[in-house]
Amino acid sequence: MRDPAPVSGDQSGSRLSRRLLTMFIDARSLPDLSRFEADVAIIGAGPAGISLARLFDDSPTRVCLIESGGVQPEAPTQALYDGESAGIAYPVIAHRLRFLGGSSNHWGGFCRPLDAIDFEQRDWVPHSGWPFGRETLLPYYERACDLVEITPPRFDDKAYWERVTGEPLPDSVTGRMQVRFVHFSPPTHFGERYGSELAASRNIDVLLNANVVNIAAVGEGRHVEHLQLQTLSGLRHRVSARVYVLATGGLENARMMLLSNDSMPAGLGNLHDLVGRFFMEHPHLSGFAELVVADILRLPGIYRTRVYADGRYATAAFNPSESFLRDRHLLNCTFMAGQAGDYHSNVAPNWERAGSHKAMLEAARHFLIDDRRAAILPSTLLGHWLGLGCACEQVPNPDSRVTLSAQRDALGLQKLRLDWRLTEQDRLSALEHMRSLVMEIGALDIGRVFDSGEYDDAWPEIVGGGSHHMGTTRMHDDPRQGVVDPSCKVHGVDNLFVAGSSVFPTGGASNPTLTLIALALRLGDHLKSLLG
Amino acid sequence: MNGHVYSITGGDVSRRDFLLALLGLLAAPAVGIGAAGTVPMHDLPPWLAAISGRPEAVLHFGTAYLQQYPEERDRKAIIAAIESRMADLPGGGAAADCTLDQLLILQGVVRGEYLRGEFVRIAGWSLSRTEARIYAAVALWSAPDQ
Repeated sequence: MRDPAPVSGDQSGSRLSRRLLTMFIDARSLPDLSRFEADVAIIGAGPAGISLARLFDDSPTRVCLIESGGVQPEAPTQALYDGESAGIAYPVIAHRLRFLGGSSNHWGGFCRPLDAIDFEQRDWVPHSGWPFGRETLLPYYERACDLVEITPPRFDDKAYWERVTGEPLPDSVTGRMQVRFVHFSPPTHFGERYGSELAASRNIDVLLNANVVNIAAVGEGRHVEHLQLQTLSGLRHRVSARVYVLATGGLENARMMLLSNDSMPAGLGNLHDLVGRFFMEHPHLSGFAELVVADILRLPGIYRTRVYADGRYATAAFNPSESFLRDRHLLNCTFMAGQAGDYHSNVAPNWERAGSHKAMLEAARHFLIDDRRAAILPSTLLGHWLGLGCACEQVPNPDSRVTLSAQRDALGLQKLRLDWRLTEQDRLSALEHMRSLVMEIGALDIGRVFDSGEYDDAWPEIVGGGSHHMGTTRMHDDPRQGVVDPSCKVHGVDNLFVAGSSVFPTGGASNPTLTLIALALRLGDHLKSLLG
Repeated sequence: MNGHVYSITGGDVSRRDFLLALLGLLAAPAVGIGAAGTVPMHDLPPWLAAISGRPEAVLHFGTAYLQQYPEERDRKAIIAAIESRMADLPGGGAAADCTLDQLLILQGVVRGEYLRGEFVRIAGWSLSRTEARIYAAVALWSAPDQ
């Protein structure tokens, strides 16, 4: 579930990059102190910024899309993402990419909307509750699916997947779990996929290698007047617009607001000390457990591998049922399995736990395979093992936060300092879901589960994340509880909006990309009506 | 999986193989059965003898269970505990005089325990209590002094 390491552009990508470079505006090639005017200035050309900018294509609205990087990654620009990690170890520079397309350039492509319960105010989840329900986002999710190339989505349609795979999918026998489906985007790298379109637009200017160093506001921070830009080569430019949208990612959005403190010492939109707080990830319990199965047919293929149907890939995930979450006051969670290897009686174990895996398959054979199946399989085949991964929701926690470091980057700006924290509630919830999975797999005679017990007593020192940065400019009706209002406008600032997962009040257990794109599209519709 | 029809690896050949293997283990110094001659094999419940599985592997988990729950190192008590669980199921206990039925009941017991979350972690594996006790019973028959 974790998004993989950055990809390097292939040759066709490089050709595209070279062509795009000539069609965009390189801030380094402009005369010093250049000025731009637009109706909408969007800071950040990642999935949110590009999705939003595209909405205005071929319209009278003039858009300036400002990107810190170029069309390919460059080390000096990427280094601007360096920062400190004060809580759970988190390499902030590695979890984000700073060039056209942003972090979609290392996106794994996992797509799934948040569940309906994720939007609710849940008594057992402090600070939970979105200002609107899932139904508000449904039309935008549909449009977002087009952008990430997974149409038509079938996220909850079990019958559809049974039909296309030809395999019946088991119902939960414990009532604790349900099957849900995750689609895989190709994955869409937004810079490569939509770069030509942006370059050809008559009303969208894409400004590359342009770092916003200050969101300059007037009237005690109530109105943004312009953006100050600076290149790494030292040139300074300015962009003025009617409205401004911050779309630089879940960590950088908060940093930019904290840095923009010339009229508000605590940072723009930070009257109530909320900017940067409530940072959430999806703790990824990668390899927290292993599953052995003797008869692979007892676990349908879509649970253990990506299935291709109707032009896109999907896989099945084990998710807790809504009723179970309510009954037991738990946080959301997603489990996925991946087939890792086979075991044969005549092949010696070749890794640390293989001996234990083989022994389990040999001991529990009576429960895990019947004679008729065993008779048609190779006599030496003992079974298979699968890795189990888990991505968990964490409680919104004001002490889990982004602040500014004393260290400075190459532009002279204070670096980001991340203090990611997890709670006991997060851990106990994850453990209960692991228990559900063991119950389900055992009761269905699928296999047996090995669990290292790593999470039994406390969060381990090292916890992975999924490069999912959420919550640092959270959305709420009340300015005392949220940084942005339901339209994603910053409370108390009349022309500054935020796009991206930083506005999520809670994070559910789905990869945030699809939701942040849906929110960006919703914001786009709002801005269109606002600007006439 | 819902709708599965289970058959049992409990035919004559498997049972004979298992018993032979078990007897082999009883004589093997590796499991340290100095008192192997004292093991009353006629007490071995037929359903236990009919469980398939490589004896060394079964013993591995059975021994681990007994180390974790030393209070259960009692052959008669552990068999009684398993059979008590079997008796709780419809058609279980004495009513099931056929080994095949007993094995089916045993599978139902194990499945039911997973369903209710009645499992223990043995050597890192989450095993239903009865399943773990089955392995422990084999260990006790193989090494009554452990």
